[in-house]
Amino acid sequence: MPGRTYRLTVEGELGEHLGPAFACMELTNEGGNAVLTGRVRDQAELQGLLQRISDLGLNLINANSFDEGEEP
Amino acid sequence: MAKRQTGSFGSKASVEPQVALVQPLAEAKISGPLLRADLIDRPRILEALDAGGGAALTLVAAPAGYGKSTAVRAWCKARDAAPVWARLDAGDNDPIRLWTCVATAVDRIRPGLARPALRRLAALGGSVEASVDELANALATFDGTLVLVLDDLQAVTNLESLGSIDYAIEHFPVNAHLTVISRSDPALRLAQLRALGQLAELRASDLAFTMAEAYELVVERGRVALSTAEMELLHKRTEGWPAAIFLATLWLRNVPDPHEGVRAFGADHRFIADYLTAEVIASLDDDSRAFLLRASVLGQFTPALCDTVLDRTDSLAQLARLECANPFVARLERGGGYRVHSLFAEFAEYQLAALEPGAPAEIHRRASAWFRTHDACIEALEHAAAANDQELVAEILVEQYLSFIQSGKARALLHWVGTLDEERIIRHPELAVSAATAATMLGNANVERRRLLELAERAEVVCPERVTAYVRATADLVRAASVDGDVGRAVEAGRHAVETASVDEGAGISLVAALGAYARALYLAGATDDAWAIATQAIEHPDIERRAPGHAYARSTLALVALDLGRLSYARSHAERSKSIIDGLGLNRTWLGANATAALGCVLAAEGSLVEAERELTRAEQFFRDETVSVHHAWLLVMLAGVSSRRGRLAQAEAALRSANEAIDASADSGRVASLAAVVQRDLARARGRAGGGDVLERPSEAESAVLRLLDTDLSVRQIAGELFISPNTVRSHTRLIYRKLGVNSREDAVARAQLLGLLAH
Repeated sequence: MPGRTYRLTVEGELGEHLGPAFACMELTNEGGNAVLTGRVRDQAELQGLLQRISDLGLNLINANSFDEGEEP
Repeated sequence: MAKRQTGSFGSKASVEPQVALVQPLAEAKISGPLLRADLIDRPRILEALDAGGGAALTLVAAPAGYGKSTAVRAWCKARDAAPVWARLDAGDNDPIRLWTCVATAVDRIRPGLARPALRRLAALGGSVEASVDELANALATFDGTLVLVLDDLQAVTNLESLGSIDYAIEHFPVNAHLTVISRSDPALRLAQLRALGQLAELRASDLAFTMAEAYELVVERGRVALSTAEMELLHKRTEGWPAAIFLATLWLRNVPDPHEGVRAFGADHRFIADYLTAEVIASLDDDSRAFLLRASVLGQFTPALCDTVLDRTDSLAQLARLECANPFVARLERGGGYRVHSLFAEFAEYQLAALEPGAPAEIHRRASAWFRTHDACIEALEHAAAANDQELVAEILVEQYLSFIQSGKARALLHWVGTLDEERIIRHPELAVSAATAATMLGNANVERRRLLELAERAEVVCPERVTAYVRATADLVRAASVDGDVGRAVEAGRHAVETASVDEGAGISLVAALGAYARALYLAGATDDAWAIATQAIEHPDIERRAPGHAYARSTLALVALDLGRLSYARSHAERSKSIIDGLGLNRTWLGANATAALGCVLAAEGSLVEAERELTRAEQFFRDETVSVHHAWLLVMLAGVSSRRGRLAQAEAALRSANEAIDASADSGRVASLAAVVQRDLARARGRAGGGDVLERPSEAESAVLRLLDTDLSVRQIAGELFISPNTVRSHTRLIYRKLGVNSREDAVARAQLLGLLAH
């Protein structure tokens, strides 16, 4: 699949039941924050993801992306 | 699982009389929040908004749950200004719909106030800016202060929509104050306004509760006995986010030991909105919890809808109780509907899904059924989509597609069919061809139309038993009406469509539309007499009044054919009738609507009203453009080039003709359009020769130049005289001198030559 891997960190740990809110991303909690990691096809999908974060009132505190093969 | 606001697609759906039962939800679009009695006073917020009184725009920008709408509503009330509320959604990426919503809200302030603006918005070519001007004029006549609130502006990203708001910021009168509420900074000209001191802003840091405000809300109003230290912990943990503080109050009021609760909350790392929603819901009794979780799935509803969908009889009482106890359940200012705050509803829905996995989808399915029985099919479709139930979406569409087409809801039909998987569309080929009809009506959707027709063709292989006469006739009808690049094939398809439709009438097949499309293909092929006979057959069909889109198309074809036959008054009456049918359908800004406009333009050209003709044809042109080569577009460009050439606007005419010739060259069979283009080409060459030949003996005087400029209009000699306050005889003598100086002997040539020489530049 083309695209890039993104790793988005939001403030506050998210319960498992919120997994479906970010269906295409893997959700893990680290030190009081939630980390969403996954492959994002294009900018439109990324914007949609950021929109979901904002709709839920979450604070985005970090965003990184990685090339093919690079270790996130 | 994004929360869907009902009625967010298709502007027509919400205003039809038969949906009176769901009217309260349509009212939600122009309804502000109802202020709660237990709201704390926040004078610093009111003062911050006062500062906006002198600015051109107030921007309230903060994430969900910061109390943006409440702050603006409370300010309107405190300052005794009438709020005009427009709650925007994705559908308002169409600027016409956006301003129709705003104008409708303005009209509620004083019935009739926005009527001219609404009328202009409904008309074709009614430029958005002209409508905004009209609205600005109306607002200026209102003796009082108005606050125009565009709420949820984050849903609007279309540049044309945003540009029209920029325009309004510049042109609204001072008594109408524009306020926008958005979760993110909108792409308006904020930097310029800021630099000019014309922007007042209220942002998250302003809206966040101070420690003192939080104390008042939680301890004094909420009667939760917390110490100052505990309150500080709560304030720190929530960062003053109003939604979280409200939730915390609700929760702490119902726990046995609020001190322990705050300590646990302070040490927890969970996301606060989710944590607190869960706590609030957990503290309810079983029955209230079940009700609130399920009502949250609906998002926005009436008590009657709740009773049916949730299988209860006490929704009204439950809602009244919740409204008092829970600030996230709000009654709408108009119409008696309710809304659960989007943030609370989101988290509640995820929690319900975790507790009872199938429950949210089941609620959406039942809501869909309720709206379906109440003739609100857009809402029914939205809930079916929210249930992720494609088959239900398809089922509703199969039931509704004919009425969608006949009532002009082409955009909605195309959108909803487009949400289905290809396999499902193939198994419902009637949806493929009706959506292809919608794509043709709208125009500029060539690629989607072809995809849909291909899906209908695949149904012949996959499920031939489902390919009915309706499917075949409609597919041919679409091929005939759209023409693409092959007039010969369109004529063939038109004949087929008429044959199939005549054999198997009924079953929803529109013989009227088939005849109309066949007639137009014949017209483009140059078979004028046949086109006349077929189009006449269409309008004499007994079904005609129920077949509005086909009727409009047949009438515009008749107008064009009548022009060919030199029957000018016939042509005018057919073109006008076509236009009024289109007005009734609200399809002005579509290809189908532009056909009526184009026919009217051709009539005006034949009558000699060249300026008006050029204007109508230019308006029509933008809706005739398509993604791939189109003979219709080439035809329109040739008509436009002919009028521009006759007006002496030779450069414009040449440009239009060049584009037309490119389309003609790219077409397999452009019918008569090539020969029409050749005629215009000859006229144009002759006009160019006349305009370019000879010398200017002398430049026209100032008085003559004034006359010359008015020669480039449709005004008569008498009217020109009136404009310039001189006698008609003086106009005539000036005109004679102009002709002599320019070396021409007609009005059109004078204009052409003057253009060439740059004499008409103002």
